[in-house]
Amino acid sequence: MNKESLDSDLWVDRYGDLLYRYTLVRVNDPDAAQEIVQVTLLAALEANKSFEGRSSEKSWLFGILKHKILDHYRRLKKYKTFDLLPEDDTDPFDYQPDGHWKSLPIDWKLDPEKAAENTQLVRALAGCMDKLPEKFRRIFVLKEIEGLSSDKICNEFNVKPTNLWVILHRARNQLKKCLEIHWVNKV
Amino acid sequence: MGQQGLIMLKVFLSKLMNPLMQLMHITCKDTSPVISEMLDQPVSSAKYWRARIHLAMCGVCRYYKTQLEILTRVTHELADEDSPAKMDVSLSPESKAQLKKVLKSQQ
Repeated sequence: MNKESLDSDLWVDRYGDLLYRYTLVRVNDPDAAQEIVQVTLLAALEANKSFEGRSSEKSWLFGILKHKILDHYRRLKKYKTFDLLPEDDTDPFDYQPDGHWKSLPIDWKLDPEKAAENTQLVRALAGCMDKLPEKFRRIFVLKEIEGLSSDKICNEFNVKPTNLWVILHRARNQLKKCLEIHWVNKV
Repeated sequence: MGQQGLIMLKVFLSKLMNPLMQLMHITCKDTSPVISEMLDQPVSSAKYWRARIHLAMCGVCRYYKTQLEILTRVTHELADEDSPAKMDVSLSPESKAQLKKVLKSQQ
């Protein structure tokens, strides 16, 4: 085993910020994120024997982190519902009585193929995610960021499938609207 | 075909199409959630075709679909280990010192 992998000081210096930022994208709470990074590194210390240098140290640590973030979500569901409630009724998009859009879409002036290379857009989206209602954010993270299957989210987090689609649709609409305020207008 | 014939053809077609359109009556409001759902899972073929027919006729919804697809791509970029999303935040020096202390105590 690489001797370096036991040096926990080096872990903190080298990966601390990376792990923390990765967690903050998923868990919009600096204290909780810091706690998750700590739990991750402690688990890494504990499991050091299982690290056989097959993967890079970095991806090994991120592998543990991913589990710890999902653990955090599982703990959350014990005292917070992930399912849609009547008071969550907040679709930001209005339609005309005949079912057409009330306003025409704003042109993003963007090549869809190259959108992901747009660092400003990535950062703006992170900012907009933080503005989502917490419940919408959690579901959006599980589905779009963590890539959990719909079945898994519904079963594990007690969300009705029809509600899952409603939440994701509204989360996307709110993100779209927020980007149009904070990103499109500034380009 | 003369002018008269053309008008009659148009009337005939609209007589044929109107009930069809009424029958389907797919609005943007109906289609937008389906566009979102289709990003996540295969939808029933009835839903799929209603959305496809509406999309073929409605440029606004087509652009909405493009925007949601962009959103998905950018979200995946955001999820990356080296994502630029939170570059401006770091653990404070105190937090790092504390973290090191905790880890050392466990070694």
